[in-house]
Amino acid sequence: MKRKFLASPYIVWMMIFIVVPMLMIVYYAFTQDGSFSVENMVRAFGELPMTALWRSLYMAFISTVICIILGYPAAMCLCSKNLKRKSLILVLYMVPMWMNFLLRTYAWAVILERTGIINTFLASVGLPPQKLLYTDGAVILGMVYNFLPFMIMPIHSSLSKIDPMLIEAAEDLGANRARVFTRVTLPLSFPGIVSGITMVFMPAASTFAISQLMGNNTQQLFGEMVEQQFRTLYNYNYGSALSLVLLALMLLSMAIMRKFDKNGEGAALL
Amino acid sequence: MPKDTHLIDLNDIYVDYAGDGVLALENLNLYIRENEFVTLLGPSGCGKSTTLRIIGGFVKPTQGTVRLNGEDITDMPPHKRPVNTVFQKYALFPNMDVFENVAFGLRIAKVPEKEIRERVQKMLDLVGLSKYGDRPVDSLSGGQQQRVAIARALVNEPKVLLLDEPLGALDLKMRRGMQEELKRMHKTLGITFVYVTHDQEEAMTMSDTVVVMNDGIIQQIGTPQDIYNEPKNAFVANFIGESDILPGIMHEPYLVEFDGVKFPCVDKGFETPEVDVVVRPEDIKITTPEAGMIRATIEEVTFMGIHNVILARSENGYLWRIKDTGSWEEGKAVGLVIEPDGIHIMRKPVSEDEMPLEEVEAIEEEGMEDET
Repeated sequence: MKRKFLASPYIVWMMIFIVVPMLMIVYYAFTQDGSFSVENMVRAFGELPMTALWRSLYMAFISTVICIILGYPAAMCLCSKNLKRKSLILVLYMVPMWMNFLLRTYAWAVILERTGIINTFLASVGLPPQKLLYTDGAVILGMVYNFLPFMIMPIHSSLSKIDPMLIEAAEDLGANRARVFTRVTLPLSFPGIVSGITMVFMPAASTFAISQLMGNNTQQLFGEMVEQQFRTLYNYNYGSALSLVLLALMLLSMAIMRKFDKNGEGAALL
Repeated sequence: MPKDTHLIDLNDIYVDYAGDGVLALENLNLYIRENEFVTLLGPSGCGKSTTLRIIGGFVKPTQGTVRLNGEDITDMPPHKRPVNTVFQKYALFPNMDVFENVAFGLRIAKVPEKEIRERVQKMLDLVGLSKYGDRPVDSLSGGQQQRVAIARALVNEPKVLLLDEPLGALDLKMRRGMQEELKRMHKTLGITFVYVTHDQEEAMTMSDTVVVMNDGIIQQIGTPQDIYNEPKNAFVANFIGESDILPGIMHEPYLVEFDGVKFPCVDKGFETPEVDVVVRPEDIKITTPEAGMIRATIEEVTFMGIHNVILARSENGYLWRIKDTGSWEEGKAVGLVIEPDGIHIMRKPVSEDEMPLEEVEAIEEEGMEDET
């Protein structure tokens, strides 16, 4: 009973800042001018938001794939016994994390812009300037840069739990390095990959800051649409309906994650 | 029974893990014959597991060669060696069921599916797990997991099966049962077994040959009988069984003095008169003070089940440990008799490799604590 009592401030906090706003979103989504209406929900499934949603999912998908490709070897490096290299790489991944998310993204915008360091360099060797900022590529770069640690952490956590004896056992039974990886290491780190995917894919699919700072303004992402409804158009009802769509999608991916991630490694990080 | 041909030859092996001159193995020379059951016995840190890992290919010796059937395999990676290991903590793949664990090596070797089914099933029958094929490995008991680990290694029909303290995690009763089973498998399968343990009883009951190791150095190689009856030095005598080891002087061949008394014995002795004398507690007879060779007073009697362990202090102050089935009163004056063949003479430690007695005892106790 005493322990429950200790949890009460947190429960109150959650009620006020998570549960109540959720209920408000549901209320707004299904009302218009104070009376019940599904109009906003229907609109949320219309062509414009759906195009933005698919675009968001597509960009998030690409970013997630890149994060796996970059993050898995990095996680493996972190698990290697070579301590010198390990601490260096850890620092390299951690230092950007100490900076504010928006600052980091701004920094990339500065690097990529027309007068930025890359274009300055290109000009100095006589090449024409490239349009790097305000492209889909820039948005994906921003997503990968910001969310990569969230891929590395769960993969690293599941890799480091693999008993080195299992690797030796596989070698002993005739598996070369490639086979050890495909038959033992990869399957055993699968829960980490699944956690990593959800931890990168979900925020990437709903981001608006990265695309606003670095993206092509003519084509909105879903997160930007939600933000716009609340912040510039003050259409709380439609914004809530859009949010609800996104929320449903997140719950779906959480459910998928729980199915694969039996040990709850990702849940611990969320 | 082992054949005469050498299957494995370890020649002049040195291992220096950290490269700092501290040797895990020093000048190790050992051959293993076909069909032999060899046990590497010693306390923790004696180099027995390192020796096994060298044969498995997981440790590359700093110096020396490893030969299999005469072919130099020193630089061959583990996955290419026709050798399989049963690991101490089983190391079963948690992402596969029992069947797939056993089938692992065959799948890697791309054996046809039909043959895999047959061979795995046969192996599961052999280890008494025929109905457990589709179980996840973590649902099995320790003993069952151990059987899976053995089946997984044996299914590949290796030339040599390496067993790294395979029964260490099992309780005593299960350990006895598995010892029997392993002996039976060794007999029926005709595969060479190299077995690592710190349990001298296990080594004695199972092996054709016992290799006693300490501090990275082989102390003695021999049959269990040799090792028990003719220990080459104090370490072996002490590690193999409880013995009284005391300093003695060879006055002439077949006559040795210890505890202030001259005894006839069956050993000739060595270049120097100073020797170590081993007397096993069961080789000492208690009799009347007049009939005894040593006069002693009984200090303590401990009931051990089949026998009593009696501590008796001799006139010279040496505390003898005696195993006897009779009951004796504490404080009683008695005589002790030791027959010539109950006395074993050993060379005194001369090199630094063979440690003085006190250190041996300290290490032995440490080792037992660590590993049990």
